[in-house]
Amino acid sequence: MDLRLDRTDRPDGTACLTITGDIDLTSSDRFRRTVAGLVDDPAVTGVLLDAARLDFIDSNGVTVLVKAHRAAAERGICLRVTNAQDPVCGLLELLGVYEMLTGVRV
Amino acid sequence: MPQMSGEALPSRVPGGADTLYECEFGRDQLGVVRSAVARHAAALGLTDRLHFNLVLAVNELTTNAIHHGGGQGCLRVWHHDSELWCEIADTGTGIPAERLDRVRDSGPGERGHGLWLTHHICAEVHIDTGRHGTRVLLRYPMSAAPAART
Repeated sequence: MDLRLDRTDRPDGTACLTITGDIDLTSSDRFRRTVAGLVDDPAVTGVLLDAARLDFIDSNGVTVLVKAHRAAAERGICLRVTNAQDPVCGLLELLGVYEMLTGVRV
Repeated sequence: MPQMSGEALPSRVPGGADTLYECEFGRDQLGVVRSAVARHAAALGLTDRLHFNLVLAVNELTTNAIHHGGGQGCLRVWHHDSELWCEIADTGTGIPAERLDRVRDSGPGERGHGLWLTHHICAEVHIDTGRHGTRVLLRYPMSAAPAART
């Protein structure tokens, strides 16, 4: 399935990105640019990535998330992945980044 | 579909195996290949993380073939003696020995997650690589995750 990214902005400055579909070799670059755009936006005070409808993500996609999380931290803002479904959570756990990206202790 | 270039590596599909899926792939077929593997995995009764991880393992290796192995490759999936096997072959210039050593000796890094992940998801991984191409053979658990490896 193709990747769809929908941004909504909350009054408190949090940018929410709803991710629908698959993140793979063909879509990870667009995903990286979109998330970087949120992290680098001076009006944004936090980034929330809603993964409820993320059907598939590969290891390169997880690397994009980790680097975006690091970039956000360097800017002094928080980036979190929320509502990830069980198989995606399993992948994040296997790669040792679940707690860092979701803020939830395993 | 893209054409394979160079001499294809011989198949290891054993006699009597039930071939479920076979295709040549390139960058534009990544999603199609995932959908096909997902469909066959579901038909075999795989669910949840076992289902997702099989699709992930195949995706990581087809992605590697596209990214590092000449841009295209060939996938075969078969069922034999109650086991699921996948073979991903490309005609690239092979995986450097130091990269294979890094995969075996270390955990997930910023790059090269794909092979590391595959080793942790699958029950067995054979890699045959040289200057004429790479062939990766996966044996995938049909009932329980290879917990000892995670």
